[in-house]
Amino acid sequence: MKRMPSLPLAAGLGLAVLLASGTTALAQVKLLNVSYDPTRELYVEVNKAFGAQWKQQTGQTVDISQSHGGSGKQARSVIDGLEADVVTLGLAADIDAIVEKSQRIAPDWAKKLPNHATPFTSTVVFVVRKGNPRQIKEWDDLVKPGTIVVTPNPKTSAGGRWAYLAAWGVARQKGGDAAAKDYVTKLYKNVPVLDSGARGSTITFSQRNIGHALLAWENEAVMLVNEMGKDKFDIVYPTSSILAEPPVAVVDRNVDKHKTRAAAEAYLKFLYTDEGQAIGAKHHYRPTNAAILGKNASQFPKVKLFSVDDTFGGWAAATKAHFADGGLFDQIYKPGW
Amino acid sequence: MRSISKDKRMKGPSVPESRLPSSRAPSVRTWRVRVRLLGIGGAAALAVAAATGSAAAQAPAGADVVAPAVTEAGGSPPAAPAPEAAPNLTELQNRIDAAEQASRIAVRRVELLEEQLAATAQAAKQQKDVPTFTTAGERGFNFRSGDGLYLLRVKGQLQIDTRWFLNDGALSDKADTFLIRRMRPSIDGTVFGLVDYKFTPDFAGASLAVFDAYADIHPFQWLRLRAGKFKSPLGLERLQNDPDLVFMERALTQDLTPQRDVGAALGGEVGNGILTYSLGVYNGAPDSANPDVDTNHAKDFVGRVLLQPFKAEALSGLGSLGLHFAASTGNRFGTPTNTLLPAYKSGGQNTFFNYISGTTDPAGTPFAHLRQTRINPGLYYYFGGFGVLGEYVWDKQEVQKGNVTTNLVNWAAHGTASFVIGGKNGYDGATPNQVLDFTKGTWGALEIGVRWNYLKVDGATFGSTTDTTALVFADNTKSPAKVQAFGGAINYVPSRTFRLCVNFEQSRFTGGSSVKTTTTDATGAKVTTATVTNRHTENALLGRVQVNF
Repeated sequence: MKRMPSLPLAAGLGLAVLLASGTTALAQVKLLNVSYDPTRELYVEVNKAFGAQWKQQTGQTVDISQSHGGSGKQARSVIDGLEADVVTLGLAADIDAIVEKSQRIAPDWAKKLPNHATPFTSTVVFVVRKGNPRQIKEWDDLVKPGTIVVTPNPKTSAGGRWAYLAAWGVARQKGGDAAAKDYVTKLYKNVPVLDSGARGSTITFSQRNIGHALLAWENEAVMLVNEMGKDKFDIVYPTSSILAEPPVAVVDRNVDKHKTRAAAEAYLKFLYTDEGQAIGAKHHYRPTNAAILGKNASQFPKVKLFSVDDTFGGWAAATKAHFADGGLFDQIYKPGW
Repeated sequence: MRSISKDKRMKGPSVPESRLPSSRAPSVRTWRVRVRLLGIGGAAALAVAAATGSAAAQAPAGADVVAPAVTEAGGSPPAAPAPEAAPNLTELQNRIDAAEQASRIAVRRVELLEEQLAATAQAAKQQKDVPTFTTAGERGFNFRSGDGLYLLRVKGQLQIDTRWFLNDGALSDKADTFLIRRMRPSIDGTVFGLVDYKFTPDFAGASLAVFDAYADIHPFQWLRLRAGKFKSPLGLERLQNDPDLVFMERALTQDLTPQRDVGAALGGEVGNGILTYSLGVYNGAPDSANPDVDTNHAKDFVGRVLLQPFKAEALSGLGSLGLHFAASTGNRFGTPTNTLLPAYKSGGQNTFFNYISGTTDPAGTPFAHLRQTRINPGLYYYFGGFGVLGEYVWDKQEVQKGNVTTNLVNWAAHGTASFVIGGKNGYDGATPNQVLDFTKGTWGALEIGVRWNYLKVDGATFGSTTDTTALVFADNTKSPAKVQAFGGAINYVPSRTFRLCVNFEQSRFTGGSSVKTTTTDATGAKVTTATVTNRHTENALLGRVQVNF
């Protein structure tokens, strides 16, 4: 009778197959970056650069998917189970909402990366028709009778929320909260269309030819002018505006589940490297690295910037006072035009 | 207005920014063109007319509008009563601009409203309407009512096996074969949003058998009542669905648990599935049995708890851990003609153990009598592609032969480890990350498994070598006292609906065979004695093509 192959040999072969398969699994990692509307182009380039660096450092191929939409809506998706490894949103309040409602992100997320986990900053500027026929130069010009302003809905859009707070903050500097409320009331009387997101407002202004001024993220404004034609639009930098700080965070529970923490953390840290900061500047986000910002100073005109923390006491207070149901925005905004 | 496509509107700088060169006054034709362009629709034209305040306000929508009191050649005005002072060009320009803006804003608002409506409709469709239609996929063919309260699913499971026994001429001659292992169409679903049902017959083999036929009332996640024929909650591997097993045939522990039983059970999930429980009353099925009818008034009580601690959100990244404990107890009332005692099968599905049967003397046939108790702890753990599952079954049965009753305790255990390459491992089987698709260059998953399993029959079953009066319930020259098996499995899983399997398992027996020796005694007579030896080692090579939807 023939003897069968010995069990140790079979076990050895099985172990070899298991090890080979494990090596294959280690050679690839997948990440999902859930972001807000205007960052599509930025993260396409970031992903490419980070992928090359990660491959060189670890030998792993990193496959990064992007998801974009209104910042609040994206946060809701993560709360509802979208398996994001990292979030790069328009507002700290949106990440706080994920922390509060799903516990998928550790509460101390803002302390885990420099500058309150904000690799780039931005601000709110005006886009006007070429030649600025309405001579819109400052915030006060936006509330002149007959002026039509386009800005997204601050209840649903991070860009809209930054624009609202920028307007409030500038007016407040001049005459306190009462003057600010009066000013913002007048401003939103001049807003006939409230899109749900920043990209929608850009379409309303540029493709639907509505309005005399668009309140936009600085990077979105530059992209609009560059892509739609410098002969059609001008950018107006007001003397004062808000310091917009779109934050980033690792979605702790998801990366632990996916075993992608190392890659996810490295991905966000990459945004702070010289290369990451330079890519941000290329896409018109203001680098937080002073040296990189200095190298690109010519593309970022000086604007007197104020922060949400200093002016509104932080996002939690600002959200509660202005954007909660029945808050100040609901009080001053009357649909219709 | 809505007949204008979005694309046209996006490309449509047909409505100009309308800043005229200051050195040139517009002609009547220019105004006509402008107003026509403004005429995105009747409403826009009316808006223009209203804004200009001209007589054109009275004109029908889309009609040509003549600019008042302005002629291209600068000729004299008509000899008529002097009209109101004509607005200057700048004022007209502003009015036109305002009208343009008003019309565009109206269009954009409609557009946004339409987008909102579409989004709302889409959401409603996803929630309600889509299941109205028939769907087909890995979970069978589904028919669901629009309100989601009624569901009918048609499913099927087909397993075509081949078995080859190596190095065993006797076994090869009679057992090397191709066969239909399972051929089970299945219908399940929900009625009234409250009651699930399932019916599964099996057409494989010589006769039709019903495997599942039950209704499951589930008012709450934590409380459901299932009644009918179904798996009693004994056997962690037994409770896995057949198509999801790492090995084509379950381990030896299956010999000590029933296939199905008829009864009613309360169960449910607590804490989002962290704790699952079941407590039921059943007719009482012998080991390995699949009975449809009850033979006596006695009932089995079967309970189970399954703890899955990693279902807690804080631990969800640690994989899937299941801690299983089940037990049963109940009385049997066998007879010499219906013993209610089992036969045990090897991994190659050959019967290796039988209780003796006295074909001529009923008193020589043992049968199950009174209490049978089973205890069954087990666990599984899955993480990514890796998985292990192990369990132990302790089975005590009172057995009677003649007028004597004794307790026999048999036990079995197994451990199975598996790894899925290109997919996710789980208690519900291997799931490929990407199904086989030649056009995309994806290949499904490969599952590799190894296992050890063991079954030991109570030594008292075979009588005693020292006590010749001890009862014998099984012949140790035909039925082994224990079996130990090692196996390996390689399963190609292109999708959850289809898999190809190759298994090999070697089963080594203790006892179960004999060698006859003939000697001559002092009187010169020939005496034949049988010496117990081990049953021939079984080397089973199994293959399967499986379709499951």
